[in-house]
Parts: sequence; structure tokens; C-alpha cells
Amino acid sequence: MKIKVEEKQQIDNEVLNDPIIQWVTFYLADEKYGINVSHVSEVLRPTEIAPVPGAPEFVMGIINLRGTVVTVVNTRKRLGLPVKEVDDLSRIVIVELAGQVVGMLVDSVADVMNLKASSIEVAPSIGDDASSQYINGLSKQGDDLLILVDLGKLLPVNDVLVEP
Amino acid sequence: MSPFDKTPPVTLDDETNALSIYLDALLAETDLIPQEISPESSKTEIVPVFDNASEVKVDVELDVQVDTGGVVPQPMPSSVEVLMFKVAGLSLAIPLLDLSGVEEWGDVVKIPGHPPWSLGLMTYSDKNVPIIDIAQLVVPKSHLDKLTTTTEERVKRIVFIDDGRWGLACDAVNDVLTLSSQQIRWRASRANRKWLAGTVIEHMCALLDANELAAELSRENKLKL
Repeated sequence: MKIKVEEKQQIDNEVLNDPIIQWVTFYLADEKYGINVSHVSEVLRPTEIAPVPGAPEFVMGIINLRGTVVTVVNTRKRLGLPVKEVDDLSRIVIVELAGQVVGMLVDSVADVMNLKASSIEVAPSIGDDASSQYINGLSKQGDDLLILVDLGKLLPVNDVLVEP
Repeated sequence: MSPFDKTPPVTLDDETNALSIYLDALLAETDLIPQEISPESSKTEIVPVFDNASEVKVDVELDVQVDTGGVVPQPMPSSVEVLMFKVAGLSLAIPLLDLSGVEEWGDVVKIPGHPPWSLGLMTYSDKNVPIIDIAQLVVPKSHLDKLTTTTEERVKRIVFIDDGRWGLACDAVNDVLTLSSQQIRWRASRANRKWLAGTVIEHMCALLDANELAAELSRENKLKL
């Protein structure tokens, strides 16, 4: 019994020192990206998106989500990746950021991953393009790398939200 | 006044020199990181004729003083073991001592916002290593424009340098050669293109200075690690 208590304490200490963070992962241009699960409220199939004149280029428009107007961002365009047509695998990831709700169009949604904080590495920043600043880390997954997105930089609410 | 007005054209009849000038011309058209050109710098007008190298015309003002460009002159070794590799049709050689490893082209993860010459990151020796399309940096754009293959179709191997901090994407890796110092035409001036240690006419290749190449890639916040 004493051993079990000590084991539990050890596990608790490990969790405290190296917390596990959950990430919702999705694909863009064949690369796997992750966003912190705490920001994600739901995932939708693409629906009719009403364009908004005068909105930033990366903003696709707005959708009506159960009576709430939600701005939808083309994540590929925001990251400077080539734009792709919406298809059956496309999804809109609804995220909440600073009290606002925003939709991110992605190629497809993969899964939810648990990552230890210690497994997240700093991404080398090459060049001066602003879009490289949206990446806040990398995590090795076998031979692949998971690109972790800094949602606060990717979707600064004042830049993204549009008035319907 | 054009450079032609300053010095009468010289016709070279030595094939070795002609090939050297061709190689220099190919590499002279590009700088890894653009440098400001001072009025005192040498001017070279070169017309390479590939199928008849003896007719290469050259109009050249030679540097009067040797400018090492901050590169500490090292005693020339009597021989250098090099690995030969190709990028976009250009042969390059890198001393084996500067080589960290060679890998097959693998899972290179493209990172948004990186410049076109950065092909992405690859895990190598437990590090996330930037993979550089060296062709886009050392081969003139006019030459690259003539290529019929895309970078993705072209690159097959990765040569790692600087203790595995950088990967150079290349089309093919060829032989390991031992070059005597006499075979290498060492560059006297290293003011520009510090990464170019010299040329090897016999093998029509440029000899890289891997340490200077890594330093230039890291310089001026071009790459922040």
C-alpha cells in the first residue's frame, strides 16, 4: 500500500513538472498541425459561408452557428500555403479565443494527441515572413513532425472578426 | 563607359583557363547573401562558349590586393578528401572533414513562412534540421530557369554540414575523391562568396567552404536558431 502511495506521488510530481497538453491535430497541405484543445469547441463539416465585403483576404466569410455569427478563416491562406478547394474531408474547426468564436477551415481533422510539455521543441525561424511567427513549436511523432500553432498569433481577434 | 572600354578584350586559348572562367562565371552571377558592390571591386565580363571553350573571351580587371574578406587564411593542405555532389547540374565538392553525414531525401516537413530556398525541416540526429535548396542560393537564376524539373523532382539526397545543423538538398551524391592541392584552384580573394573555397577544373566543380556557408546562412537574422 505504501509503495502505491509513493508511486502515485511520483506520478503526480512528474505531471506537475512535465504537464501533458492535449492538441487537436489537423492536416494542411499534407503536413500535420496542432492547436491546443482548450481553444477548440467543436468541428463542423463545411457549410455555406457568406462572404463579407472588405474583410481581410484570409477571411472567407461568416456562418450562422446556431444563431451565432462566426467568422471563418482560410487557414491555408493565413499561413501562406497554396489554397485548395473545399472537399469532403474539409472541416471547420471552431475555436474560442479571447471570448470570441472563430472558425478555421482545414483540409481534414486527424485526432487528439497528448503531448508532454518537454516533448515540444522550439521551431527554427527562417526568413522574415510573418507567417513563420504563427508556429510556436514542433513535436516529433515517429518520423514525422507535428507543427504546433500559436492561435493567439494566427488569429488575433481584432484582425479576424468581421461585422456581419 | 562600359568595362569593355577600359581594357581590351583578351582571348584565351588555354582550355583549362576557359573551363575555370566558365565555372567562375556560373558562380559569380549569384551571391548567397547580396553584397554591396564597391567601385573598387573587380569587373569581369565573360562569354562562356561551352562547345568551343578555346574561344572564351574575357575582359577582366584583376584585384590588385588580396582581400580575404575576413576569412582567416589557412595553410593549404597538400591534399583534400572531398565528396562530390550535384545540384541543378552544377558539381560541388565538400571536404570530408566538414561533412556531418548524407541521408536519402526523406520526410521534410514544410514550415509556413519559410523562404523558397528553405525546403523545410528534417529530423537528423535528434535535431530539427533546416534543409536548404543550395541550388537556389549558389546557382544563377538564369540557369535554374532553364531546368525542366521542379525542386521536389530534382532533389534526392541531403548532405549535412556544420555538425548536422544544416542539410543541403542535392540531386545526386557522387564519388569521394582525394584532390591534391595542385588540382585545386584556391581563391585568392574571399571578399565575396566566402563559401566558395576554390574550383577544381579537372572535375569542373566548385569546392565549398562548409563553415563559411553555414556562417552566411546564419548571418543577419536570415536564420534564427
